[in-house]
Amino acid sequence: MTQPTPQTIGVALTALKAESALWTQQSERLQRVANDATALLIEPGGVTVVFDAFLDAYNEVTRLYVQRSTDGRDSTAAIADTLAAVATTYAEEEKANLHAQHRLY
Amino acid sequence: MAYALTDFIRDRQAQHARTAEALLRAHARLRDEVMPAAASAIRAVQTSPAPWLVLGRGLIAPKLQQIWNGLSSLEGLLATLLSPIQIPFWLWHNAERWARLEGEVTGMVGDMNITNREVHLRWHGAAADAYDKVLPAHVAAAAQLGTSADTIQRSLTWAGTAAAVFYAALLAILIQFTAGFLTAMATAMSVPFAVMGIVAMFMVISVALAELGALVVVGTEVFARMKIWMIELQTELNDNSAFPNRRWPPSRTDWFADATVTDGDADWSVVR
Repeated sequence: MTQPTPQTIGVALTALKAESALWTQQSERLQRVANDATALLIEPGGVTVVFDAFLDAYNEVTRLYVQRSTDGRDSTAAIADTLAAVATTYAEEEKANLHAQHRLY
Repeated sequence: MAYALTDFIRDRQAQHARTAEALLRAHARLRDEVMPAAASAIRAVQTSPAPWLVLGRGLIAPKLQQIWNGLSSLEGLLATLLSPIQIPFWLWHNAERWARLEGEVTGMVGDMNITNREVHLRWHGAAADAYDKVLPAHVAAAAQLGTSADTIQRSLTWAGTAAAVFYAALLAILIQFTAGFLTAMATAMSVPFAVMGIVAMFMVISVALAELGALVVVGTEVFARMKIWMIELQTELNDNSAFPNRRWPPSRTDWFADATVTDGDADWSVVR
């Protein structure tokens, strides 16, 4: 099997880092979504008579939305970190000539 | 030009601002002018030296007390109903914010579209292939957040409108009551028609209390039905297909974290 050129490896690593950055952006986006949704809770702080049942249910939906967004922030951040670590490991092993030694690219 | 959501909301906000101002003014008038005037009128009837009023005081006094109690109940109920008068504004304001959130999450779905990215063309191997399989669950979760934000936005827009209609109906009742009660009170102050006026005062208050009670019942029923939208949204946000175990899909990083070749394989392999 032919060995990939340093340029090919460089392009592949760039793509992997871009992928990691994309997930970081999504994680940051979901953090913003969670923050914004938290600010959308409606807590009048008094008796609202006819609106109580609706507002309670709305606030419950908003809390669920915040939870899902916060989970999403953590999950996407983990993917971003893992892809970054993959790129780092690959680059370090390439620098140490391990791919050539093992004939694995 | 299309009549956008923001235009719809602006129109309703302006209309509710006028309703709220009129309601608060009418309530203040009831509390600060009509009730003190009614108290004076009731005192005047109670202390009138007119012989037939003196003779009929035993019958009239309880009715006057009922009128005063009714008036106090009406004012108290109005004060309670008016305390959350800002709710239509909050609901519309939040509807617009949810529309922006929907745009944000939809942007995420676009960013994660696999055709926009190169990593899948540059890498293969067990880990790279496993990574490909992780992506769809996250896109589905983001899409569900977008759909839910859109539904929340629509629900809040209509809930805000329903709340504004509730207050418009309240204003109509209050205006009708105030006009009727002042007329009845003027009649009660004219000695020849005092009894007619007292009966009319009692009737006007009874009708207003009944109308207010009916409005509260209908309003509560309408918002209880709107609550169903929110229950459905809770179901969507707990849906196992988009949010397994009621959470955002797991990262599954163990599927694609192995980048080393020192273990004898290349799970991330550069495409040549």
